[in-house]
Amino acid sequence: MDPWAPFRLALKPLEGFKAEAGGGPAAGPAFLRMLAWRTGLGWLDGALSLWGFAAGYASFRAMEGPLWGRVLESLAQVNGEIRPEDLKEMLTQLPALPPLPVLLLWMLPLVPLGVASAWLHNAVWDHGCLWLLRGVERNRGWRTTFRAEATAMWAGSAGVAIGLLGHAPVLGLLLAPVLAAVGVYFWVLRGVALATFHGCPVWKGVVATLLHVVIAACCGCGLIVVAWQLALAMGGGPAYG
Amino acid sequence: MAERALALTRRVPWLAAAVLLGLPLGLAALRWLDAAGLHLPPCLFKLATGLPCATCGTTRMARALAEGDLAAAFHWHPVAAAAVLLAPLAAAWDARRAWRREPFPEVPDTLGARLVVVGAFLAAWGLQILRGV
Repeated sequence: MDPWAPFRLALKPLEGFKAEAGGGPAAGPAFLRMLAWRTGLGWLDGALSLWGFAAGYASFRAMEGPLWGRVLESLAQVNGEIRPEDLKEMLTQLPALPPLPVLLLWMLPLVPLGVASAWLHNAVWDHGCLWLLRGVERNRGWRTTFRAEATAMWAGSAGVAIGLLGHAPVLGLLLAPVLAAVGVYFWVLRGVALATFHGCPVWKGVVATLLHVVIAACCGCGLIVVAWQLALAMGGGPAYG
Repeated sequence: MAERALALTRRVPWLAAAVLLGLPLGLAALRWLDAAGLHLPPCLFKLATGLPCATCGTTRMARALAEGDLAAAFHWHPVAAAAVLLAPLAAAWDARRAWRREPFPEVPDTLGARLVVVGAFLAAWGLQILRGV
């Protein structure tokens, strides 16, 4: 297993996707290859996210940390009637998170399930949108889209790996705009993969992925998905590809 | 030769798999949410625009279907309710085609077919807006 293969594909997408479309694995093996890469990285990314969230939530409930000091200071100036003791009692009423090992165990089945769902969802929606744009040629049906999406998500492993830098203290915050740009790059890459596998102009592939978002947004829950994708892109999560 | 080899391979019945997994998982998720006293967040599209989105009412439709209340299900989202009820048929059709080594059927490559799909989507959405779901 060559750890740099997704990076090479991401750096030279036109040539790389063309080679994959011509001589790459079939839909099933391409899916399994993508699942193996994305699951490992997804677990690592999810574990780091959970760890950070659990620590932040615990300090929020306990009213600890430098942020709380400033908030209490400001509250005292604005309204002296709010007593820190009352606030603390209220916050302790918030439910505690399950222990971290329990959450991590839950991630074992949820991460591969999430990756497989994302692949299936993207394939169905992107294929439909590409068809609306007259980008799907005869004899290149669903199987081609499933292969293209699996290959794009495999290349997206490079994005997830880069996104792990977002968990680094301080550095992660500084890198947030760069990581968001990386997320956008891998989004475009998905369109390039679609177009290359289907043999249609690149713009049709990219616009199909955008049309997917527009139609999903008309379905309401799409907005949640967009917000989730943006949040993950900013935090270096599995939004790539 | 390659085409013949492809035809001899039995494809994965993805549609059937999605229905067989999706329906029980959706039902289990609804029951789990109910048991935990949790509710899905309100529709962001409706919050932002005041109009229902194309899928507004589907959660309530799913809840009604899970309780076996067909009338309420069709009230909340007639198109989605019909789609869910027809899903097992679609799954059986897909499984049969896969078993017979038939590929997924080609989607018609005509402007008319595209207009029908877009029109059906807009009509279903318009219905929800007119009824104020």
